Amino acid sequence: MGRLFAIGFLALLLVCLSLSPTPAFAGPQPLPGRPRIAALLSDDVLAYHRVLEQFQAVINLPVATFNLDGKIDRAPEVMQKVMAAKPACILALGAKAAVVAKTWTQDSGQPPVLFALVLNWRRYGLDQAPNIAGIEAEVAHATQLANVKMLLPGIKRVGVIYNEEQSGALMAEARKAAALLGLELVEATIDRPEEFASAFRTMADKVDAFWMMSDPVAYTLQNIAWLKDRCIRYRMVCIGQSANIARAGLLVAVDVDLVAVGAQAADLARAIVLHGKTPQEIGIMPPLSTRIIVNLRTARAIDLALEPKALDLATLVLDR
Amino acid sequence: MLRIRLLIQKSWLALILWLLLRLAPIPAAAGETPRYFFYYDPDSPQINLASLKEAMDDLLAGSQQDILFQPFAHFPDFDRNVTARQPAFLLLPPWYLDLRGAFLDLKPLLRPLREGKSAYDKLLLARQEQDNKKRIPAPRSLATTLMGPRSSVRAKTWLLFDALNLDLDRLNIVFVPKGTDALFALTLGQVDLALVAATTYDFLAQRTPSLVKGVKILKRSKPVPLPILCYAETKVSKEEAKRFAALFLQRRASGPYRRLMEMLHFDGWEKAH
Repeated sequence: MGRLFAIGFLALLLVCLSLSPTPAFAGPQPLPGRPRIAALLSDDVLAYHRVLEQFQAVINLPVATFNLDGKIDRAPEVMQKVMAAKPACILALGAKAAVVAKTWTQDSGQPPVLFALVLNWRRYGLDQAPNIAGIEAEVAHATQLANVKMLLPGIKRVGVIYNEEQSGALMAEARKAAALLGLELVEATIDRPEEFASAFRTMADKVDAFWMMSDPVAYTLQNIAWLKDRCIRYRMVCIGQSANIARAGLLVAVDVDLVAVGAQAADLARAIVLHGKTPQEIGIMPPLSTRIIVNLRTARAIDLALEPKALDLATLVLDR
Repeated sequence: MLRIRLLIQKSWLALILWLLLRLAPIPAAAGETPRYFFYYDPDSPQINLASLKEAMDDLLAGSQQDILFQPFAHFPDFDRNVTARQPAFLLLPPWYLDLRGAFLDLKPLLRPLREGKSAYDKLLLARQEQDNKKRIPAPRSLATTLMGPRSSVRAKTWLLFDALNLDLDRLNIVFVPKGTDALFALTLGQVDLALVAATTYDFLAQRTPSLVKGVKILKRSKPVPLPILCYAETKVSKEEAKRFAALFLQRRASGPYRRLMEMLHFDGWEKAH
């Protein structure tokens, strides 16, 4: 009798298991023996965790996570653990993680390192190491202009203020893209943040729009606050590159899509680990996906009637 | 021995209870948790999902059914939520129906129409080289929206395009959540090829010709089925599914329906069977 009970119990258990969600459905499950990825975070920052979450959802390989907790002096302890895990690739999120990963792998050139969310990555020489590929932290200038052109096709002349030393090289790329998109850039250079206001006044009546690029000299909190009011006073389309700048009152911002950065990093890591691409073949890519944020309150303040089709192209419309 | 028998008997009861709970359809009585209606279409030119939700909520308000519409821009979010919340209704790409339909007991309800057809084309695009004498290197990267599981993209691309003179195995494939991202990446020289819906290309060509002027069409795909409206048979009765379908079949000339159809770039529906 007891045996019958046990057999019945096992049979029912099997039926129940067959009705449970299969592991394949519940999301990609790593298989044993597959290459391992080490994710190295600079700190406990929400952006890093968002990128990592999407990376893990897409990569379909085991990922071990390590965190420097913002302390570069923890590098030896953390990197020993990273290297002991024998990763096929290191995903480094943030500048500290990227620099530490570069330092610890530069002699052997192994394993390959993929970085993301590193501002001013050139400053750390990340393009000098043959085992390093990456995704830039900011949307490329060209991509910002393309998105603005899609949203507001009528724009022809765009003003921009920058410091030649800081942004001169990037401006060359922006000029090329502008020409391709049928835009004319009206440029002014400044040496100090205080020169921003007078440079803006000089160009204000010659342009349809003003583009606040992330130049370290021009892009200061004071200049943003000043610009926000002037954009409304001059009834001008002002463009920035973060959701916060649109929240601050600029009409439109073209921001990086962090969720997509995680997926893009996973695609690149798979290309390295599973398809034999070298980091040099991949190089340093811009983030390909963007979010367009439109401040509708500002649009009304500058008497800009945005047609519904234009608003359909915005990822986020701020109306409060 | 007696304790073991008691344990087995208790386990029996627990298992039977669990099985009954699992097999029982969730009642749709008023005041209970709303049933979900999920949307995911990476090839739609509609980017503003908040305004899409607004238009769909307006349409659903007339249905007298407690249905919560939730659109998704990113596949991992969509897939995770489908697993966690098991929606009652979905508007999704047919490849997702193939992937998960059996598990979710999904039944096709309606197919949308675009210019009278229930399918659309995809375009394989490259940059127009201005200098014809310049030697064009072999393409190394392709940006595309999802067309199925990531691992299947090469095979799917082969199936979509006849006689494709391209070594797909050598390509670094980057997936993007929307077609405009792929198109801009190509226009601006960030990738060598892009695979986008013809709707996206045509929409941009009409709206901002300068964005596509440097791009050439290498190949037009075989027809790809448009997203399909489905319901979960375990959660929705046939009668409820019929009432839900009627909302979309009424073809109102104005109001939320028209706006919704504009956003989805659909101009009608037909029964899926």
